[in-house]
Amino acid sequence: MSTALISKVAIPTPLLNTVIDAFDMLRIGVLLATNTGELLFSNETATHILNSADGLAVDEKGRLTVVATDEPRFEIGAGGFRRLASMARKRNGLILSVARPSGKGTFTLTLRPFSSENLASESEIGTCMVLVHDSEHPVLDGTEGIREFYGLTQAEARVACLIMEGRTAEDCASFLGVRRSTVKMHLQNLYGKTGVQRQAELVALMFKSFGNVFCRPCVPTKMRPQFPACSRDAAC
Amino acid sequence: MLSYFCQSGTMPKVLQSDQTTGVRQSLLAGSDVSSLRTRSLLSGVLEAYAVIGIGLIILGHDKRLHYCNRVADAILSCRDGIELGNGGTLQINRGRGFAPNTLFERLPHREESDESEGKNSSVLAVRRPSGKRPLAVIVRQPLDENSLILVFLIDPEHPMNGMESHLRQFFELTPAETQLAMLLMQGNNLIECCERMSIRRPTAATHLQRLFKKTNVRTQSQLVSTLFRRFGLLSSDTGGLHVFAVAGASDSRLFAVEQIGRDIF
Repeated sequence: MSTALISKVAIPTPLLNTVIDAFDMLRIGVLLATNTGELLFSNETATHILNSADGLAVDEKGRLTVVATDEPRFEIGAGGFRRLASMARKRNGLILSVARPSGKGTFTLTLRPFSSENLASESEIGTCMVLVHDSEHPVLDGTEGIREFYGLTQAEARVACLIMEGRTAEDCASFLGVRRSTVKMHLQNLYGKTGVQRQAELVALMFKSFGNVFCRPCVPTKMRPQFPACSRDAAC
Repeated sequence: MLSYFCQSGTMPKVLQSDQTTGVRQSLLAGSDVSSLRTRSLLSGVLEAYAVIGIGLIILGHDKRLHYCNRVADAILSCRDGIELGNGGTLQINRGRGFAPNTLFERLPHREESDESEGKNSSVLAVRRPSGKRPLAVIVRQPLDENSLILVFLIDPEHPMNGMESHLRQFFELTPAETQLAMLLMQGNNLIECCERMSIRRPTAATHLQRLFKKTNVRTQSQLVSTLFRRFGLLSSDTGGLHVFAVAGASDSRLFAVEQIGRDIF
């Protein structure tokens, strides 16, 4: 069954190839599965999540499962995932939360069915895209882009990422082994460089700019924008 | 590269990364662009980027537009900072009095050695004449002859349509709490929130305290962080997404697990 499906779901063009490659640039996990739960594709983030088998995993048959500690009835096995996928089809999407046996923060899964009206026949297996938001995903990975984009120093970028993870200035200080006044100074510099006034605004801006993508780029210094003056000033 | 393509019905428990290239090549060999199934898959895959608020543009090897999703289309049609020039090339538009230059003139020169280290993407800040926050433009050069140039356009001021229903259902918020959470996620401070919601400061403070309690945080920045980390920039503008919960060990406070479990299973 699965082999037949693969030959039909073949990567058709350089376009699809490029788009699928680019899923590895995303901070969120992207999974493609048939409506019966068979995994077709997972990007880098999703592969890490599945391999850690903490809440979400792939069984021996290649099916997506939810690893539940004491609630086996919630396992998204063959039937379970099929039911979820059919609900997602009916409602044009489904969001659900999966708790982790380890007690870490939950995953948010977004199921998106591929429009079934385009399919040649009902007998064909539908495909479902699953987006995984990991509330514990470390923000510290792949921050070179943020650093270059705003012209931050290493220390400022580190503070920015810790703040993005929901830590307070005190937490940052103890985590980094520096004094609180040092963190406060970094924060003031961050506000200046990004053109914000408050911690919550900084968090919001960072997430809205780079919350969904990793960036590991190289940008020459001369291309850095001058944020504080320019962000609200039409003249420059 | 850790992406994984399933080759057959059987699969190891731990996903192997080194199989990817071979599998991908075999998938390419058996391609059939015309099939409805493939086109449906392609549209679904492309849709994923719009769902998380990323403007996606694919350029051919001639640097002309191949594909652009609806988020990128909305950004380009504003002609604010970046626009589509003659012949489908991307142009940086710095406002009146400046000659537009193409996006690729602004990209750093690519060294051959960079490519081997995987540094084939660059991040640019594109200033907007309107004074809005600069766009983040991420350009990725093709990896091989079977891929194209990929551009992400990210607008930090992208409206977050459709997040309300996720927040409300997940955290069981009241409409006022939801609105406050959304305004905070957009970077407003509490005074600005009061103005936008036409409420007094003490009322907003009460809503905020309830929000903290329901999301289990202590500060505004923790609240914003929690909301973004849980939902990112999901949009539901193609239709109503519905929120359900699957039970597990922890965090049961958030969800009416029993009831929802019966609903699904």
